[in-house]
Amino acid sequence: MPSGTDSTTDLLVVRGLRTTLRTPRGPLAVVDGADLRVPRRTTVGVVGESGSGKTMFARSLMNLLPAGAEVTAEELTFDDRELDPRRPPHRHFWGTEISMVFQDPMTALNPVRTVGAQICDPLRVHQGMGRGVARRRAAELLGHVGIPAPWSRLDQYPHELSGGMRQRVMIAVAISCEPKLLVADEPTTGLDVTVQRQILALLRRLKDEHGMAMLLISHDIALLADEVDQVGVMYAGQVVEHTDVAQIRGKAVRHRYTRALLQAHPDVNAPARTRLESIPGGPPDLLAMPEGCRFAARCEHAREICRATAPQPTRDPRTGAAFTCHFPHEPAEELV
Amino acid sequence: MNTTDTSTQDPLLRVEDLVVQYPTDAGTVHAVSGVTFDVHRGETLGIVGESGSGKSTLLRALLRLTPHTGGSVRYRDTVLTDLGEEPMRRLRPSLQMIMQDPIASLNPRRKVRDIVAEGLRIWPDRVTTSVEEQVAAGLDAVGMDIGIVGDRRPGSFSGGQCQRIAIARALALRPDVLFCDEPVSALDVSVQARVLNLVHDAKEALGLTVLFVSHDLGVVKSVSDRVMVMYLGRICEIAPVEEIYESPAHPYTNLLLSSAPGSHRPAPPDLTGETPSPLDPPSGCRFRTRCPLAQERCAAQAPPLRALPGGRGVACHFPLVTEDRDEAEAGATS
Amino acid sequence: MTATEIRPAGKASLPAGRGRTRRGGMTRYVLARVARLLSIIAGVTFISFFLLKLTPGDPVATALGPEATPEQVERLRASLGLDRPAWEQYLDWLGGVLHGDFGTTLTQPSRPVGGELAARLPVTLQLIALTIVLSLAISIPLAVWSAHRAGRTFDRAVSSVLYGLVALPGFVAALLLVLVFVFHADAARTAGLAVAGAALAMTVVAALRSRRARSSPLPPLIGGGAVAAVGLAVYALLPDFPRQGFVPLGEGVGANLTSVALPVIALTFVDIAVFTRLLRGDMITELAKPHVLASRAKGMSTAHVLLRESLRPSMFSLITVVGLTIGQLIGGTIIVEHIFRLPGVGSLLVASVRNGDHPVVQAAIFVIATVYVTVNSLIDIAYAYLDPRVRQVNS
Repeated sequence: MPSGTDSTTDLLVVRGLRTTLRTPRGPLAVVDGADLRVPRRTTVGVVGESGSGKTMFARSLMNLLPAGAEVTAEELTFDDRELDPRRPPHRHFWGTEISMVFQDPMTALNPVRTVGAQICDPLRVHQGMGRGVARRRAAELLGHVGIPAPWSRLDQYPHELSGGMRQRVMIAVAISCEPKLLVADEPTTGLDVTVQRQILALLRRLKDEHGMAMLLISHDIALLADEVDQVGVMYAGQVVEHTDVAQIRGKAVRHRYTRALLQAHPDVNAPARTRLESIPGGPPDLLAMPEGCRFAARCEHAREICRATAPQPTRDPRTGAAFTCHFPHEPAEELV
Repeated sequence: MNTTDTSTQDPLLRVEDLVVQYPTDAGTVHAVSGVTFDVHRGETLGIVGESGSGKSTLLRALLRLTPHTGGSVRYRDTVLTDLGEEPMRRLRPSLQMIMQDPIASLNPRRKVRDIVAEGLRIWPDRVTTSVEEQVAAGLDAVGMDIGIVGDRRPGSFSGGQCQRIAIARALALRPDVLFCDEPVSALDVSVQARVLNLVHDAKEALGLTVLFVSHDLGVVKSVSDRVMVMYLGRICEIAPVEEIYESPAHPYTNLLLSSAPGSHRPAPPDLTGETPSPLDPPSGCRFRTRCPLAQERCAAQAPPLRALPGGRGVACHFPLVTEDRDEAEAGATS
Repeated sequence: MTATEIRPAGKASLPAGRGRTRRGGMTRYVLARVARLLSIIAGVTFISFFLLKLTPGDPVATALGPEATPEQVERLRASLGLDRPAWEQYLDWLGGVLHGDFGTTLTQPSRPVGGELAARLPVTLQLIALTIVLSLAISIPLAVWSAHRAGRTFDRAVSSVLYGLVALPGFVAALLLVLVFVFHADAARTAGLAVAGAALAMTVVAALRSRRARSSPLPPLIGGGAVAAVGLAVYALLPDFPRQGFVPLGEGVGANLTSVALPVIALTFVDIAVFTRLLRGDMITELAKPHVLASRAKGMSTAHVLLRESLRPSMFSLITVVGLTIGQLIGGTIIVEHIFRLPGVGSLLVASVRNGDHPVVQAAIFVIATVYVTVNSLIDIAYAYLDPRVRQVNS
């Protein structure tokens, strides 16, 4: 999206991604026509609430989905190559082209294997390193992600490390094979704010040093405003707005949902005891998706057309932001 | 020690030197290590801290849901910490708690009307009009119609709705103090605003006093009159909300505020430290292992909570705000 | 609501302590286990000794037969020390056991109990060991693959077969095996050949299909190959191989294995079903965990994900049940021993109970209790091996 991006500068292009899970109640389209572009060496944030499909969106890119899930896309291009969204890529793709950092470092590391063994896995499989070489590289990586005394950590188990250290280990695993895109799914949720800061700073440093692009997924729009270059806002399985972070910081967003999300967010910089504006109702049932705009039922600006027809993607001529809203928020309104 | 000069009246809750320790396989956990503070009638006291700060344990110890090891808690004229089981039980309807996990705190097999009425059935003296009427009023206060939701069970509600039911259950008893333990941390942003507003409105309407524990600095700022910052079982700082967010006196408060997502405060020098284990807290000031200003004195001697102007208290040998406001602000910005 | 009972909840996530020294803790842990083990064995023998005293009938009179005179009975009773107080007899017995002396049989002619047991125990232990090893060898691969293909054809087929096996207790299985392999050996041979042929054909088809689907042809090759091998073995070995009676290991491994093959197969049926279903369930739970997803995201192979990441943490319930099964088998092989005329502990125990031969019964109970308790202790130690977190809690 935002202005001036053409296909050659985009590392990842996703158009019309649709992911369907098999459930006892029938097929469930958790991602339903999502579009997103990730330019090279750029951090794109994806924000959404629970059930918005942001995690499934990220996992669909790598086809890391539960059994029975189906992914289709109008376009899925990575590094100028077409990917087949319907089947998993060759496994050497995982970890070397795209790799992933997961939400909960306690459960995302195997509790019964040593930290060293888990870092050595991708090195040995993808880079064909021998045991000793891989161990040396693993210790280097641990030092690289800011873990003190890396050699002695190799033989420790995840439960012997603090939450922040475990997440550093996860990150070391993820960058071990120099991926071009790092997908971080709520990498700091569950960590203390002071540790969260450290982890985010580490991710930013690694992204710059390794020239990676990053897809940072979070429920916290303020966190993304700090960390990313562009933001995709997901609602009910779709990316409803994709904009430069400046628009988020300046609250000059266009989609009514993005706007409402910012209004509901408790901002540490706002005056004390500021009354927040909640969004009425809840997200729509994925099995009974409304005809028109998916946010219409909760939107105070919704009119007849919103409930009848789904809005088409629109581009803001000034900022280049893409959004799908019939009656978008006009940031100029605020200035008057 | 009373750090607030705004109140000439007696505090509603007075906590003195409260200590909570409990043994585990790995050793003794020093969860709360001597905290002293007052809660005034009608205020909302926000309690912030990271994991291991003891904020949730403190809340439970105040309600005697966790045994305390030492110190005292006084509520009005009653010393809760000396109370027997039965008199304590009789006080419970006045002291209501809202938990973090809204779905787990509601019995999934009961109807909403019964869940909300439960307390009133146990405490008939709390019924001023009729059970049915008070249940309806409680649900109405959280924006729910008893005719629509009364016969449904918790399973058919979202997390935010369950939390509203839990609040209705607490409010139906006409409590005096509401103890909120991370009430919105399991909720989505769009829903948490509603719950926060409900707590605030209920407080205004019913004259409640609220203790609000959270790890989220933005949430605490939006609801609190005063804020207490805890670290490893001790109070770092307690002050009116504007003061603490504008000019934190304790280096830990400063670190916390500048670490908050979206914070405009300058980021601290990259600290790699994490909170030490409450099994083996550092000597002296507990924050000294991570503090950029720490000196020898900090390891030798635990700083007492001392009063600053403006109803503030800080437990630090080298606070960022000193007795002299102007000098302090100059120091903080330089 | 008792306030004093409640511990601060929801704070399980204390910052992890540094790794504690493990070696010394492990030794102490094992020693404490051994002490507990000995006290349990002593307790079991104590209780069983006095329970036997309470059983109706006079073992001495039974041993001497109806023709014995009261004087003869009294004489034997006195010579065995049975006229003394019961607790004295127990201490005597215990003292003897500590020196490896289990007394003599009441059944005439009197023989040392120790020798009787020593002759029987190897048979039972071999039976148990082979049963457990074979059951695990079959159920672990079945469970792993079923969990991987949960809900698909392979998993459903295995599940339905297992349902049938659960309902096939050892003695029924034994009778069926005898019926098929002994009395209808020719038909079984033909069936074996047919099964082998069908399996080979299906293997080829499945391997081709998996190649077209760009997945590894190895699993169908292994599975189909195993079935074909079993069919061919049946064809090649019948009608010669099942024998009744027992050939000791000393007289040739082949002959020994042939003599225990059918009883072992009969005993494995239920165990295969139980083990597979248990492990499959735990594997499915484990495979849904984030660390497995993370391993896939690292680009690890399916074999790595299944065997290195998921199998080990899924083994806890399985090894618990394996321990219980071993305990059960040591006295529970009686009927199978009987059908196949194997001289095991089970048949000795039954005969001795019938004859009121208390010293033998007591000794057998001692052996069974010892094996049971030892196995279960080994399993507790295996937990610590499988899970580093258990190790730390124990130290």
